Amino acid sequence: MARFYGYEPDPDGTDLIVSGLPYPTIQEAGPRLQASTKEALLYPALLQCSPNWRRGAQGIGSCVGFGWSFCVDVLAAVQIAIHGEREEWAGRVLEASVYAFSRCEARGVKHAGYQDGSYGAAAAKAVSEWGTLHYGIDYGETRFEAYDPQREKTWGNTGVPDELEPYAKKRCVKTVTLVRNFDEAALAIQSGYPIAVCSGQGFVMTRDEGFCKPRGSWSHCMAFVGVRFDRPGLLCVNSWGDSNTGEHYPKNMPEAVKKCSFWVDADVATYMLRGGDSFALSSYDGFPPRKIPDWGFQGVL
Amino acid sequence: MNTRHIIAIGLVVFCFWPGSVSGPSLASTKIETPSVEMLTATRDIKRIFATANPIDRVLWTECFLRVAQIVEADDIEPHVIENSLTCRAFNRATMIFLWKGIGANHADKYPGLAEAVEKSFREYAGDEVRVLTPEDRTKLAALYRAFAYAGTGKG
Repeated sequence: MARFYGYEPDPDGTDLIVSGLPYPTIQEAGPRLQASTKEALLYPALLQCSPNWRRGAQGIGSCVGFGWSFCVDVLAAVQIAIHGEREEWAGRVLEASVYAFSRCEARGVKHAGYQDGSYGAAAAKAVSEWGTLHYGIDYGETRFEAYDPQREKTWGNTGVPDELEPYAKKRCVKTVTLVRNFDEAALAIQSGYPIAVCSGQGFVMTRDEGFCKPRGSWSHCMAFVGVRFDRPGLLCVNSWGDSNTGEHYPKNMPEAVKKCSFWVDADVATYMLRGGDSFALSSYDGFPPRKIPDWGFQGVL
Repeated sequence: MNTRHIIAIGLVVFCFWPGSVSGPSLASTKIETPSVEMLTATRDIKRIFATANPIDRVLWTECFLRVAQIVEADDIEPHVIENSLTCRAFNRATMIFLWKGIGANHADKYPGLAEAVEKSFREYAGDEVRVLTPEDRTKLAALYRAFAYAGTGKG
């Protein structure tokens, strides 16, 4: 069962990292953000940038790497598709990079051991100070094409190889901000900022009118990428591949998202966020747009 | 865009192609007059086609009218022409299949034509790899129609 989870809370570590954040709360990060009761869904931006996107399944207890990497993917897509930033979609974040940075470099340790797990604030420090690597990008002689749980296991002990760190540093999340309740989460999501949520709350796997009922305990990291107010809740994306069934909302939600997500009632979401180890992400140093050589007419006309 | 996409697009274009170009005439071809801005952007293409042979003018005009239709039809997600790189591949495939393949035209048959088309494209669509928005698709279809119009020698 351990491979399904991987959230190892460290309240002291979290306090230390949060105290060093330039904008520890959403009010400080975005004082001009306006609260409203407008529904907001961030996954369409991701699918616009990456039409064939499918949620991966974590192979070890690396949920923190998966939850945070997914949030960076969503943030990058929102910046391109909604905020119209001049950036290029360059593929998914390599989960192992966030996971390993959060276990080793962000904590200042050389060897973190082979037991699985990490926590939210460590990942916050990882993506904001150490950055991210991506699938499908040439890093000198190295290129990552597919998910490999063994890589997570190895890097989870040693950290990201030194020669790759300069590449990762170019792709940092500039702002990570603590989110402590449903209202703050709603404000962040309405502004296009996904939330990596770390908590001990478990759920049933079958949705009822889109929502999954809380049940049991999961020491787990997931992502909130939608908010609704008809029945107040947050859309939660898991990292277990195709894992959820039952009716969903909205009806036209693409299958890829439908199978890995569920709505969480506002009071349950607040309970999860109150743990103080969940963060909204904003301002990603995305990939600058590449130039195309020509529009395809040279050498033919 | 993979090879299958390119072949599919080629087949679509081929299927849309009029079975018989019955004589090199554009008399029955109706094309809305492009905006002044588009006319200006495509004036070099028009100048080049002013002295082109009638068969090439028909081929050019019909080709870009179909291309505009295809781009407009690609409105279902996930899009086939999803970004500027796939648009480039689409342009190239279309020109190779139709202008070179069916029309049996060689490169540089009309000196300056490739440069003129590239220039118009850069003015309207920039030169960055990016996702195409619905507005981009509308704009591209208008540009393709302006190319078609330039081939008629009107305006």
